[in-house]
Amino acid sequence: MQVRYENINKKFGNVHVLKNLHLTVNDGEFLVLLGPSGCGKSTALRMLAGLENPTSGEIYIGGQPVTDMDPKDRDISMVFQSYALYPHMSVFENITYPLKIRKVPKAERKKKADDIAEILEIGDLLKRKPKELSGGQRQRVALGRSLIRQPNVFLMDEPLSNLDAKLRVHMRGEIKRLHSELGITSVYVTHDQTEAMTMADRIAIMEGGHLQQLASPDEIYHQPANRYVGGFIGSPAMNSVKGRLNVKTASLDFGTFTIPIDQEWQEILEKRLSGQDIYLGIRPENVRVATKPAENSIKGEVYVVEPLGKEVITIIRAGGHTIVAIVEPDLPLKMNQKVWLTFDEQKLHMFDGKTEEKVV
Amino acid sequence: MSKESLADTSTSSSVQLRNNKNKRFFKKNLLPYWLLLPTISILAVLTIFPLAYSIYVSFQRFNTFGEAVGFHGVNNYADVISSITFWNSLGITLLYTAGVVAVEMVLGLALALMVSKENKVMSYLRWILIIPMMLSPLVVGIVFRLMLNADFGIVNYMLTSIGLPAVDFLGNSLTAFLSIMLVDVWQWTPMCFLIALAGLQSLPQDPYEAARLDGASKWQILRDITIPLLKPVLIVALVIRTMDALRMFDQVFVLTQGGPGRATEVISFLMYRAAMRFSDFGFATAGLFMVLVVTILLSLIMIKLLNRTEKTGGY
Amino acid sequence: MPQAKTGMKARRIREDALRYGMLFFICLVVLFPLYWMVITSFKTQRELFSGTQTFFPSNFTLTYYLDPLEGVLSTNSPFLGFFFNSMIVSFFSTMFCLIIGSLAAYSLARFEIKLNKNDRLSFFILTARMLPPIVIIVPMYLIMQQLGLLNTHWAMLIVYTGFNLPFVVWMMKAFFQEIPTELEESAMVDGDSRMKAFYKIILPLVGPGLVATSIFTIILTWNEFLFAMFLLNSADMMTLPPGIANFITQYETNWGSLTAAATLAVIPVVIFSFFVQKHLVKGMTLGAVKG
Repeated sequence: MQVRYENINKKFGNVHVLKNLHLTVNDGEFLVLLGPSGCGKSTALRMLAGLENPTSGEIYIGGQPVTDMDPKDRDISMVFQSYALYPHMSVFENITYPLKIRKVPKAERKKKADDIAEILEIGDLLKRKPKELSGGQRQRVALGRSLIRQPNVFLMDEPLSNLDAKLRVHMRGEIKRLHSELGITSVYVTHDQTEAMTMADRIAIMEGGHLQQLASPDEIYHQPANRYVGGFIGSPAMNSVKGRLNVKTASLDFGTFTIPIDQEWQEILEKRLSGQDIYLGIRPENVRVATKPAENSIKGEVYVVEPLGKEVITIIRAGGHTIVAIVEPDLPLKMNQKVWLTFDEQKLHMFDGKTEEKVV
Repeated sequence: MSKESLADTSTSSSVQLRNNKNKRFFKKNLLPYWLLLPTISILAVLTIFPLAYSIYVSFQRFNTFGEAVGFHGVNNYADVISSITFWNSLGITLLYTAGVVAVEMVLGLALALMVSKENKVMSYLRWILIIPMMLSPLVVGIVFRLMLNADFGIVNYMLTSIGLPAVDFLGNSLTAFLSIMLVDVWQWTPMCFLIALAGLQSLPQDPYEAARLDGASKWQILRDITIPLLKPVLIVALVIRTMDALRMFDQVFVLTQGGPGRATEVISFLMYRAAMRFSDFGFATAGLFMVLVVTILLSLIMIKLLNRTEKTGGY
Repeated sequence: MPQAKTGMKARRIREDALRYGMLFFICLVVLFPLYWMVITSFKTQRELFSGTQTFFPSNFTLTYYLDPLEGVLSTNSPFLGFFFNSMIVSFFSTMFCLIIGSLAAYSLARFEIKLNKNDRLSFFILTARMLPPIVIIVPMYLIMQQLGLLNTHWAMLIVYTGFNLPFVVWMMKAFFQEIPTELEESAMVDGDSRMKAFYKIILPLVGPGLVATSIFTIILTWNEFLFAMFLLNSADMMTLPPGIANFITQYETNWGSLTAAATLAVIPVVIFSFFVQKHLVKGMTLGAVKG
């Protein structure tokens, strides 16, 4: 079912945690709310669940306003970060609790529990109490409790953050698979960009109570809407160098080096920039490193070399700037070695020096 | 439909929504208050009302039959302030409080340090050590009255059997006062012990390991690490014990009835006597208000102290 | 090196011996008065007053418990009445306190309400507990007199419910705060209303806390003397503490009956306190110190 946030504001005392949030989650979509802690993503999710009231604005589920509804009337389900399993109930009782509330007959409850337990491979745990389960098993039980009825919307609040790295990767895949099988509209909150990139149909990046960008993982990665998104997504982070548009020489001036631009570009930039300042963004994998100078190359010096096996992360000092590049492991680089950098022009990102919004 | 009427309908529907929202808002947000209502109203009736009533009473004159016979102005307060027995009693109470609280805190902390080690014997010991504070102060008073009896008390029996002279514990001003304190220490050291123990068991371990590596002696560790870390918890014990000691009544009632003379006439007992024996409710309530002020001031000071240690870190 | 090791070991043994020796002595000091109370109740008057004190009764007697004239358990003695009155008053006031106090505690533990900014309301409730009882006892006496409730159990129920409420609220608040909020939230998302989530999910989980709190409240009520003495004046209404105090004036010299009554009054408390050991600290400090 479609979910819509309309002009939502939320204040906790003097803290304005959500500012004019407009967001639509399409029917059947897997939407990830991504952002650092304190960005308002959890608050947005909890409002959708009805656990928090917006200060102003309206939330719709399936076109119906739900802002004033109690959680129980919204027909949503939610997996909590701490799983929130009922400690005094067995796994079976936990999973079937939502059905019990809805007075589903016992035989049907049993059947549904068996079905869901089979999907989640927890069939042999049904009689246990939550404290006898491992972290991964608890996670599955929490999922089971959310999925046993067909909710309108399925919410997850950092459900994987308490698992170890290996299990997290595994559950990531499982959740994605479950989603594509059940097709329930899902909203998933995380601060982990890998989870967001691998699981989402679309990602909503939030920061400081603002929605920064809402787009597919691909678009977010390749066309970040602003400098924040560019820097937040991607590891190692995007290089961002501050410079000025120099109309006279038809180039971008970064102090120790310049990048020439053609007439067409110059016109666009002149029109779009709020001032003269500009941020140039370039991802580490789009920086080429050579041991010999080439046309338009920038001279620099190797600062740190971090081999990762299949690639090497190299931090290079060029003038006053620090630039991270990913290079092939067969390129023999040493500390303090002189190198020459070139940027892949197709992959350059330009952000306004003041507003930090994408220019082109 | 004209543009205007369209605008009209849209505003009216949004007003509807708003009203609806307000109703729900109140329904949702009043629940916490409904839950609190019974408690608050009972407490208001049982504390604020009597307090207000006793303010009224403290300005009334009472005859010897305990009947209010008219407005007395601040005369009751003047009577209290000019009464030697009141100041005597206040002095005794404060001396008593300072004495027992100091002894109980030190003993309690020492005991806690002795049994903080975790093993089976210790867990039984802990249970034994906290029994006194669960008992009725009245029963404790009776037992000590039996043991301290001048003629057939076991304490005097033991003293004389090792060649010491018998003491009339409750018949002599100084020993009566000390006996009351002894009973308090016996009964309430466990409270300080218990709180200190809980504090000790929740202390982080790394400062100890670091101090040991730094070569600190046991005594230095106690002085430089344990006690500073334990300070907030110790202040809690201090506050609770001080409040209780200031209002102590039961033991004096059983053991000495304030005597001999007025040697153990703590403030609660003095006011009890004024109210019950002499029906001078005006005098009693006026005196109690002054005691209340002292109690509140003392507790405010101690709570400030507590807040300061919490702000500067504590643990 | 090995020598240093044995030296250390010897020192540790010495320290342990000293520690356990002292603890043994302290336990003796703690337990002796109780022991003395119990054995005195089994001694004959003559043995008690004879010049030599015995640490075990030489003529073991049950007179002060069972004798139709002197025994506290006989129907001639008002003791059983006191015991029964104490049970009624403790049980009902504890029940009222828990029902009323738990709701308030839940509200304070879970909701952010303006009235309770910076825990103001919680502290207001606590000050009600810190009031010296003697301060409100005189007006309470006069009020009960006006209401015609003097010398009734109703007076005791009202006073004890009010007097123990702050304790119950603070202690239950500490217990509620130990339960993660996500549990109710999860239950609400699963389809419960707030109050349903409270009694189906939270109340069962806080069960041990409820038991501990009620035992504490029972002990507090059981031991309370001052209010009972003021507000009750006939033997058929009296609870144990003022009842036992009456023994002193009535039978000044009958230490046998007195200690027998005291022993019987103490037994339930000692048994109960065993069950709340784990929560003692929380109870005694109103949750200010985690135990």
